[in-house]
Amino acid sequence: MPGPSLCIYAGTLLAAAWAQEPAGVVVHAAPPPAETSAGLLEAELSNGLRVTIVSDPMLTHEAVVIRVGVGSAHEAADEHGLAHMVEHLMFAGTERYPREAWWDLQDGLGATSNAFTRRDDTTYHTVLPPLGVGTVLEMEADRLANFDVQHEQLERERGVVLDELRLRYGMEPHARLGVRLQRELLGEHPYGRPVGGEAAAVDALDIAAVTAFHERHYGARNVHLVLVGPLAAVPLLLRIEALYGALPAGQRPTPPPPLAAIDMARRIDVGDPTLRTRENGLVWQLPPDRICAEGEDRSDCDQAYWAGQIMLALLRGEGSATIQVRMARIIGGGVPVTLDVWRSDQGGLVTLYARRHRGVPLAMYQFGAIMGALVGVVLPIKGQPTFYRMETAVRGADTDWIDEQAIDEVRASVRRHELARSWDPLARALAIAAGTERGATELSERLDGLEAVSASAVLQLYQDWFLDVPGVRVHVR
Amino acid sequence: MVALAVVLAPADAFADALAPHSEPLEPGGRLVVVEDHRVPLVRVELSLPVGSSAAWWQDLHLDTVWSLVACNAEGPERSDLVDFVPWVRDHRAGWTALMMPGDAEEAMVSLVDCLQGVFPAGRFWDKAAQRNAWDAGRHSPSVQQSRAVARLFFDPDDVRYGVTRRPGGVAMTAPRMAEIREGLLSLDGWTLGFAGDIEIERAQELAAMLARVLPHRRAQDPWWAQPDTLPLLSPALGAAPVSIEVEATMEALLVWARSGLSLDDEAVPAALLAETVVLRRLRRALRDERGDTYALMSDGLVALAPSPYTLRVPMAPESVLEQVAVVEAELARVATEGLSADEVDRARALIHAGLQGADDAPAEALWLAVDPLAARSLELRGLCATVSLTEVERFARAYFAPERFVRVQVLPKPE
Repeated sequence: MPGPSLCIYAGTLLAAAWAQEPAGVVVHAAPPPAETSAGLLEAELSNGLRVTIVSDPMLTHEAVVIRVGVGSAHEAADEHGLAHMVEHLMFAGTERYPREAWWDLQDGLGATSNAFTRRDDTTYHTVLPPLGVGTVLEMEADRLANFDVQHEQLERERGVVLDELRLRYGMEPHARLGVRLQRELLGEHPYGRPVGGEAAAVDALDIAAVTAFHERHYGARNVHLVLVGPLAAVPLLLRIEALYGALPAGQRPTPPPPLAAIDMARRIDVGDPTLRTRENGLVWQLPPDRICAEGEDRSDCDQAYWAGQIMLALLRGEGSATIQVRMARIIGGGVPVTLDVWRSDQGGLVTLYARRHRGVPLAMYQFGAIMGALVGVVLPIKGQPTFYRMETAVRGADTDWIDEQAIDEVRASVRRHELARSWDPLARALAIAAGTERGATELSERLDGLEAVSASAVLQLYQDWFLDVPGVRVHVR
Repeated sequence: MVALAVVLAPADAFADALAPHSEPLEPGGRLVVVEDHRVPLVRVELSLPVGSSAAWWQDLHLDTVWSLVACNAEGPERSDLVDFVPWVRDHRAGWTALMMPGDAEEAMVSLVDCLQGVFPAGRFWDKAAQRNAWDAGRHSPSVQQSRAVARLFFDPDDVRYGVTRRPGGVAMTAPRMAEIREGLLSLDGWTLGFAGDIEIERAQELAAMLARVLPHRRAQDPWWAQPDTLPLLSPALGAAPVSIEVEATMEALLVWARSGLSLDDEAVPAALLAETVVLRRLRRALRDERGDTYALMSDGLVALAPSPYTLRVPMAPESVLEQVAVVEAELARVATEGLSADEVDRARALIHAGLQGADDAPAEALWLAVDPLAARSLELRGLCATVSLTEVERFARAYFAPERFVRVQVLPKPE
């Protein structure tokens, strides 16, 4: 049984909180930056449970986020769909808070709760007005410690999950295409299978598997609790230690191998009879989307993080429409080009799609492109398949769409959205839990990293991500 | 109970700080400023009194029209430091941008440029792309489901429904876009708003820049700006359930529909509370106790003008009959047994928290100041706290009686 001691290993605390420092707590802290009254507290309980509390008196609501470091990528071959099923069953209720009482209590607090499962993690989140956070912490601790699902609960939730799968994939041809493409691209890698599993796998899950999965992965070492709001950090931390300090430590699951280790095919053909479009895609791999790991030089990895964000924003046409105009001119008028970005702990994918409705003659699109040529196009229409023109658009010899001015425009856009987002307690808590943000007090520091990104750093990423690697050609028919 | 009491206590810590300044502005508009120097940004928003109230489930695509008509143009003065995002609600539409305080003048120049409308030929690429995307998207089973149900409420041959149903279609020529733009700008009742780190005097200077380009002549409101006169339910609908078949779907959809309430209806607070309780009961019955559905949705209970109100339940096709029986039994139980005091109290707390979240957050302050529906939130919070259980029950028994609804079932078409 873990002891009651706490170890606060990093962070800043409000000045008022110093006086309340509990006995036996080791604090390494710096005063908050002058321009913010928010405080950040990071701690680890003796059982390994990580706690982050952002105390920001400017916020009017509080967010409680619990990130469990297990997702579909950690499932064994006979466990597909389990991570998502356990997420659902965490709402099945406990002896102390049966399902109906759980929701009644949440409603009475004015709280809004939900959860989601991804490849690397499962996240539970609640937003509520001030003063109810203590009750929510009790409810969360209770269902972490007392997960005890009965057969009939599993059967009911199986129906709900199967309906969710039908809604996600049965109603949208492009969602089905995405699943198929992921599997074709990533093969046997755990990221290659759909997060919620497939209907047959969900049908086969039993109570023993559900219980074992929870026991194995919901230990304290695998949990990160994040609170953001107008909170008093130190008293809350003591309360958290009392509620969560006795959770079994458990183990962190072995992470899946890096995506970079996969040797992806050069060309993939996929199809779906319900699709009414012809599509060509180009796929490139991306590195993981996380801020610094422990021990890394922060200014270096901050800049690398922001350079990646800027690179992708430029490709999306945010801030500057240069690349969009370029694509429209090269690929051809009337062919919508979309950019999908997916990133996980072990890497990600960026997919560029050009989509053409089957019922519209190619000549119509070419007419649009010729109209473009008449008003000053760079390249003439060569009659090539859209696929080659996409490659030309992204990997053409010139890099004039990545310049200081375009980067400045994106930087300004990112800065505005970061500042605006700082008012949303849930968005902040989710980003901290996911590891893409550290905390409120460091916003100005993070934005300093954004300012420091140079054009040469972005160009280097362009070289590494798109020019040095040919990309996978995807033909959708 | 203690927690509930605390939640219901007054907590409008920011109400004074966010009190909006409002003044009339020539020609015929209004300037709203929410001065809030805690926020290191300025939100600017131009909104006009025309929205999607005649549409349903975004079928009208007014947002596409907006982006084609104005801010998608690449004028010579177009700023790349400020992105104006078009938005559409049921009764208003406009553009919003976030900017650093120092970029305010450039933002206004950009907005003026947008409104003056520059349509270089190259932008027709986007028009074709929009049309292509729409053509591809309409074959999605979920879109087909929505459109099939929408046709029950709106006559697809009605020109008001047809003109914009296909963005970039025959009607969407450059002269047509220019006509819409002129019509929009000549509407009375536009609002220019600023919120955040900006002084009122500075906002007045910026508003004067905009006012100079707006036409002074009041045109007669075009049909799409007039109050919603569309029939809420098609005359073809009777008391009997309607069944529709849709291709390529694995999911069925059950819809219960009737007319919703307009914002000025005195029953709105009771309706909000009653619906919250009914939705929770249905969720328990359908999802928690039976595991039959993932999502239970509702739409259109309260709008600026009356709109269709719908309860929608997706499910496996084979369980349609059971679901109908469950939902109608729950609705009948509301009519016969009423609601409990505890249920209504929890609904009060939930609504209070939601409204508080909207009107306390600085980012939402401007929306509150210019949007008639949102502007009622403080009032509604008070009314929801005080409306009696008897009134809520009376509303619930009458409104949610199953025989008052039209039932529509959308089923997969057999292959």
